[in-house]
Amino acid sequence: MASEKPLCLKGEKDLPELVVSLGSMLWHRTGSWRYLRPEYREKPAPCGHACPAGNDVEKFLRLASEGDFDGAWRTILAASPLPGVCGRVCFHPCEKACNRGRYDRPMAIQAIERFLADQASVRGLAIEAPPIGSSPDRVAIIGSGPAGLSCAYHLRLAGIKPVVFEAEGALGGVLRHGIPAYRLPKDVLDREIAMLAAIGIEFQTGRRVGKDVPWEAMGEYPAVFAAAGAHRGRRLGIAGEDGGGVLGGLEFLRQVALGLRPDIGKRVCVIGGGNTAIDAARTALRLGAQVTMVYRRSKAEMPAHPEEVEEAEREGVEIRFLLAPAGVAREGDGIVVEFQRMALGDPGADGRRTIVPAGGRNVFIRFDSILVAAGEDADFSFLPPAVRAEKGQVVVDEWGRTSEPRVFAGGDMAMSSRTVAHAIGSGRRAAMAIARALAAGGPAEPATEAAETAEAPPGGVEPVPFEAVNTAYFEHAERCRMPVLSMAERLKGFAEINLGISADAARAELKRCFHCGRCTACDNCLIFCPDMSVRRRPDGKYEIDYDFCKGCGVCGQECPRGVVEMKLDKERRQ
Amino acid sequence: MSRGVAETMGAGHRVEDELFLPGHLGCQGCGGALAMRMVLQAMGPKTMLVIPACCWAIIEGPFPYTGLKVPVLNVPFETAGAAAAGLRAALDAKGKTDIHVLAWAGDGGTYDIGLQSLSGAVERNDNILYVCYDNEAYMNTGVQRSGATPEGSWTTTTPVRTPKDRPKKNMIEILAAHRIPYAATATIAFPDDLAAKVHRAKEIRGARFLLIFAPCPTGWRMDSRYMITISRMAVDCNVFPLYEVFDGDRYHITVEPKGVPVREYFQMQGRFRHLGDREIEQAQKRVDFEWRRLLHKAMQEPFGM
Amino acid sequence: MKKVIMGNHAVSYGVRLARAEVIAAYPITPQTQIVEELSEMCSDGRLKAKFVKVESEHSAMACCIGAASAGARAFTATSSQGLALMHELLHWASAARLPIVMTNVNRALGPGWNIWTEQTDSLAQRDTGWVQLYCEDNQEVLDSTLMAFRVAEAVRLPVMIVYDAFFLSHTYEPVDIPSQEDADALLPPRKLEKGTFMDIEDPRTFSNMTPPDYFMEMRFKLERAMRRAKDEFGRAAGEWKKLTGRDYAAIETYRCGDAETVLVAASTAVSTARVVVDSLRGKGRKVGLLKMRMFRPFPYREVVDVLRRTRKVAVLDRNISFGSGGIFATEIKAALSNVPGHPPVYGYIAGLGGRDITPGTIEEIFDRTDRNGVPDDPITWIGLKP
Repeated sequence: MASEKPLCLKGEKDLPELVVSLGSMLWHRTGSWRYLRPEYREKPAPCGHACPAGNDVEKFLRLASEGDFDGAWRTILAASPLPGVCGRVCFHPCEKACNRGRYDRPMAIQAIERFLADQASVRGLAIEAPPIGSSPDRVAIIGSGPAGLSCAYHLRLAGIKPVVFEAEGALGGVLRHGIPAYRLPKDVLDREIAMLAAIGIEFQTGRRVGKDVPWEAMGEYPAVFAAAGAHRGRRLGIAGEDGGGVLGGLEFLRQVALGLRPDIGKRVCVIGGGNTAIDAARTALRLGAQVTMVYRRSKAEMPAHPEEVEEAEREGVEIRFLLAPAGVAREGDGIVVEFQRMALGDPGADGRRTIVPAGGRNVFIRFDSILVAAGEDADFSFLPPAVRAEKGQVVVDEWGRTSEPRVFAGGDMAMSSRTVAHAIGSGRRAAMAIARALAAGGPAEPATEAAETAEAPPGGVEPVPFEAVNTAYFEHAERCRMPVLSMAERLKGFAEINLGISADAARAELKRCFHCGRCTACDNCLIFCPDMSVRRRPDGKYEIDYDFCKGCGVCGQECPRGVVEMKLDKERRQ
Repeated sequence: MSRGVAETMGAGHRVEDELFLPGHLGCQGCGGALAMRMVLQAMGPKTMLVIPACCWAIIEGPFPYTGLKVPVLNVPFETAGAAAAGLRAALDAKGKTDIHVLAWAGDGGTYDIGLQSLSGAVERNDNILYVCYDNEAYMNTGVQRSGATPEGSWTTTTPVRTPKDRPKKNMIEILAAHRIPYAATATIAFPDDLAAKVHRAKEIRGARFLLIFAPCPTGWRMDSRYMITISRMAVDCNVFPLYEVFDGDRYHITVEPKGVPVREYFQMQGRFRHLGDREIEQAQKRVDFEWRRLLHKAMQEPFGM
Repeated sequence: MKKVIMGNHAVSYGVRLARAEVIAAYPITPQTQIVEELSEMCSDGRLKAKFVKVESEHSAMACCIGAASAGARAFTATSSQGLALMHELLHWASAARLPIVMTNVNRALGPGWNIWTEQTDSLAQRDTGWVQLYCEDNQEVLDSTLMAFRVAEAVRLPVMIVYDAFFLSHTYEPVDIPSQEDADALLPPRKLEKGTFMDIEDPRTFSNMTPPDYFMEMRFKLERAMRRAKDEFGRAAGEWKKLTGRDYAAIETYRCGDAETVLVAASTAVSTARVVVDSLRGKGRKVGLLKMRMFRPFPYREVVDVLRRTRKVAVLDRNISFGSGGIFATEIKAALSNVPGHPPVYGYIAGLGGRDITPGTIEEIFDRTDRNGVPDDPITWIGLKP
């Protein structure tokens, strides 16, 4: 198009009799006017960027919005083998990061993930894995929690055979023994673990490494991934704590998960303000108890997820704040707990306000039992001393490498952010590092960012900020609501509370997504260019005709999702 | 009612097939250039343009070139209506009734110097479509005030000490008073609304008028990138409501504004930078008043003051 | 077929015979009967033209510009103030090379308001690039209208037919109405060459910005076309003579062969002058008459050929360029200025604002010319009340 040249009209004889055009203006390359240069640059959306498991959230939302539910599900599977689990129990940092949250309310990403996982299950979709490579290498994985399952899965996708050692009689780790069934029904977990077993991951249950299997037996594996979790409940360190009627919160949850019905009496005190405390409280409620949670600080400092706290209160858990346990005494059948009154002090190192004694008389409350949920520690005594640990955690780099070349670690025993999504992410990164190490034929080579390219969200740079979204192109729309079990039904047992959204609700919700940073071929740049300098490429997306683009910046401004960037045009500035 | 996301151009769209070519002489972010692009897309190739003196007499390119792929007749400043009427008469005399005559003038050539010949053509109901791309001042000559310049605006002939002290002429009302078969406002920020109006106008015989809000980043003293944004805002703050009038009588509002304060619209443009709170409040009052009056005409609300 | 019609209707008949396709006009005294009759013709179907009843003379010309640009045969008529209002567009029409034909009924420009004849309105437009033809009687008006289209289309320039208010516009004379066959023979349908008109099959932009690189050449071409217009007029007149026997030329001479004093005049004053010349010849005075039919292009060669042989030249101007003189006189002086030993030119202003030019007026001009050895002033007012 830009091959035209100016006309060569030398004299009167070359000119027409009247003022009439003889050629087009196409010879006139207005690109020379430009000092800003538009460029198409897709970038990570904040949702995917915030996902500790590495989910390409925008992509699965996009495929789903196009009606390709299966493709959307497979997109999630590229990062995580547990969409049914995450769709229920993940604390969805993706939604907190979602730019739509600054416009009206964030996308209901978790609800959609769950919807996709459930519909895939209904449709009987299976994971597709490549054949296992000819190499005899097998990798040992210690623990079948989310980190172990994720690592095993990603190794399997890389053609490597994993062997998973699980100390308990059933698989799933904290997913099975820590998270109550009303949040994560066991059949959902079973369903996703069954998919993993179906692609040739070997599971050995009832095999605790360091007890049933000696650490030395790990020597036959070229790599080991340790993800045994954090199960040891912390003590309160107060008088009378060791007597009867006091139970660890996580241990309580484990017993309930195993089908036991621990005797906790009628009036139960849960000490702590984290997610385990909430789970313990709500579980105790379902066993018929009257539950009082006692937390040292105020509501704002609670580490538990606010939605969980709210639900617990709605279900009838009483929460008392600014009371620190000071002693436990037994009186008859019951227990009297002594609490010291506390007040909020200055913010501490983590930003939360510290507490200081408020003075006044201590408070004494009578209970039948106490559930202590003051945090959990990891037990890595099975690891050789050469694997360095600090502050109760195995020391790892971002690829899960420990101080021992063959040994990798992840999940709750190796990281401070103890969430399912973080665990899945740690397993995935370790699997990549292990696969790379094995391919290199020796001890793990330092893995680089480049290892992640194939499945990583595009760009690899800062996610699209809300300011880069042109909200003029999005109508306000209500976020879908999760249907839930009635209060009466809930307290009867452990039936799942969240019932899942319908396909219609999912479709409506999917329309709300901004698709930040992703060109959806909306044509805005093409339509609004005053210089006809945007062209459609064969793939449906666009390119700029820099011969003519004057650099007005309209395409960048009117891109609804921050894909078109304006940059100083170095070529032109010279 | 349509707003927001535009209809796409279709997978087979090629710039080469458009009737307005790149390489033209419009400034960066020229609203008038984009308006032409959108209108010609809707008009199609069986269109003849009549262009009086205005920015477009530059944008189209100089002799011996042209930036357009339809026939174009340049005419003196004040003659768009009459020259288009003559062109129409000639085509009709030759039986070429299927060709559209599109008069394309700026606000100066429409509101001011060309008002008489436009009035004549409309009163005679000549079968032409007259489009005014309105950038609210004489931009081609270097930003002098016109009858379309809004009250309070700076121009080079209304310096900030004495900015324009009279409101913008209501062109649509003038045409409605002629009982013109079709008159409408449009903006490039709402391309599907604009295209729908051009198509509607194409279907009607007789005089038709389209007033297209076409920002001039150069003259409005603003970053060219906000050219569409400001057009959208003009609609959303009711400074430039999108509506159509049939037979000078039936009003139809085509895009529901979001009710953005006028202040936000003013703040984006250097030409209003000198305005104080009192002036902005007055402008808001006037805009509110005009909007209520329009709602009343559109039979959407009673009107009482 | 002979008919007794007024001058204005002679125009209407000419336009009908020319098969004009678009007419755009605005009423002004003394032009109104032209457009009234054309309205009747369009209304009853005798003329298949689109008549655009514009809201001003300015728009009339703009409308003709639009119509002629699309290849139509376009016509308008006006007078005086209306012509002055068109001024800008007269330049545009010629530089756009549009063969528009316009009748201008000479009328004085106000103030004070005056509806009577005077040539200043049309002569003031001499630099606009229009061919100008001045008519003496109604037959000439009709025939000139037809020839005007022929010349306009041949050279792609607009042509103005000019004649006196009331003395011709409203005066009934017997006129031979040519047959349509004869009219068509002189004036076939307008030929449209590719790239010269608004054409959907060959989309081009007309009359856009023309930079200094090209502007002079375009003006050169306009001037060249203007020179050719005289030849084209001669050709058309020759054909018309064959068809009708009526003879027209850029200028006409009357008893100039041995004339020692030649009077130059245009329009109806020529008829009066003819009578005076006969009368003075009867008294033995060697006087002659030169009729200016074509004013633009100015027929230099023809004028010089006649006047170089006389002893004195008198020019009757029913117009005035203030601070300079009669416009015809000025042009005649310019034409003769390079002729060695050329005769002196005596300029006379008479008949402004419709005052009668009687035989007495013209006799006085001859007398004063013969009496004075040299012209004492560039302007001599005749009939001025002391």
